[in-house]
Amino acid sequence: MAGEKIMVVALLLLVIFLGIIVFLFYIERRIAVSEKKLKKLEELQEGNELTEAE
Amino acid sequence: MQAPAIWVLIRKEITLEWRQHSALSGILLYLVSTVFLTYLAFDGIISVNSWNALFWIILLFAAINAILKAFIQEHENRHLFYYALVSPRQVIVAKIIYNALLLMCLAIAGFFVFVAFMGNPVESFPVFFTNMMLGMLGFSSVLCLVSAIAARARNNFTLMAVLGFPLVLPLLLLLIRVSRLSINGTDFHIVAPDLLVIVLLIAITFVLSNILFPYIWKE
Amino acid sequence: MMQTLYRNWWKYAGILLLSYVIIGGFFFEVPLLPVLHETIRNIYFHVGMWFGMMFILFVGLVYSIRYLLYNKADDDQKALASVITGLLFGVLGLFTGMIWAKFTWGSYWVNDPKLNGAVVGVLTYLAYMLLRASLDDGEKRARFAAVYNVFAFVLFFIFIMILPRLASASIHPGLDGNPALSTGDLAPEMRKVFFPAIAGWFIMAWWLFTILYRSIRIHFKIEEITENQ
Repeated sequence: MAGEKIMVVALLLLVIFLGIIVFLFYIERRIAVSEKKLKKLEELQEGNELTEAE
Repeated sequence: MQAPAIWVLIRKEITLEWRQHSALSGILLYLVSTVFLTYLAFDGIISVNSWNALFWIILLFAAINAILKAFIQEHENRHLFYYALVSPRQVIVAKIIYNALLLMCLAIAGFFVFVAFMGNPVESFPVFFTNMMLGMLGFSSVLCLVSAIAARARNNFTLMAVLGFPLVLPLLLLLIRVSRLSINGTDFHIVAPDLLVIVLLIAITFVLSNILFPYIWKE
Repeated sequence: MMQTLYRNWWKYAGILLLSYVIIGGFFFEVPLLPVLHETIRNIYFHVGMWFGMMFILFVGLVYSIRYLLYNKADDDQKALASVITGLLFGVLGLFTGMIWAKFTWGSYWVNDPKLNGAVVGVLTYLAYMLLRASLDDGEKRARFAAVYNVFAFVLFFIFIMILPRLASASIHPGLDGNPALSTGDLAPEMRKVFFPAIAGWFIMAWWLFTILYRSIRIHFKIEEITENQ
């Protein structure tokens, strides 16, 4: 009886932990996407500044 | 060259204080009224432990109030003047020493006020006194840097209290401990290790303030 | 794709380690001591989180010192990220500690130097966040925050290392050294879970720190761009 309870608790914790991990990977992907966008935006800005200078 | 500059800065602070009477008189009044308030609130009957705790809490608040003024009252235009004349290290050393002296005067005055209202349970006075003086030096060396930070930010007083409390807490707990022992009549040789730790703490914060203050001072 | 997989190997190692710790922590044999009984298993989580916190706060200290030396905005952002991670781990450590205290000492909170030190640590770093909030953006805020971080870390470290040892009556273990780390303290059968647990929590702390740093960097860059326009 007690063994089953522990099993359930441990599994629950494991599931929560893995859920958090999946969430972290999801956030990392979103961050990577925004980093790319930002890089493009910065390149665009630098281009604008160059044309303005001309 | 270095020592005289610090001495001049301290003298300048003392002269300013002498002319304005702002810090000392304000905080003395604050001390008297808080002590009177606690006297009324406790009906004059108080255990030794509460006496000790109240004494230190009131001193701590008075110290925070006093040191808060250390950098706020410095006028912006005066900065330029300082830069030309002295190094930042000399400024912080002078501030720490001056504020320690101010706090020591306050602590002595506070002690007498406290004794007048609440009675005097202290059995070994030399230990108590040494501890109190060391404590004021410690408060000054921890809080001067915090005051310099808080003076340049919004919500000066709140920030000062919030930044300062966690940092003085180790020192405060040690001081309260030694103070309680001295009230119970403990000799020097028993509290010597604690006093040594307090001195070490003061030394560490003093050195750190010296290293870190130049980064706050430059603008 | 393969490249990402290859680059993230340490994250997978951390995940595997902590999964192993959760399973091993609950099912492996532990010596049954008086008072503690089976709750000794919490050591893998509670102590692990505290070590993770100290580790990441130390990283923050290093970045703050680097900021003061080299004045790079990156270092300031890294220091901020590590303080946030440290706060998270600190709160989690307090939380697991409170549960442990409830089952061994009978109440969620006891007046004890170690516990008070923990609260002071959390307060110190909350104050760091407040300091950042009450200064305007820019180089001055970064500088002041770095100064406070160095000062605070040293005092906090002194507080949790020295004070509990000076006050002779603490019911929290670890009066004469680092709790759980000294080899004499820990039963050999627990080490095979404990050391992986420490490694796993360190990796988790570092991972969270990198995620926070990247998002903070994006936040600052966006602000910079919108200001320029």
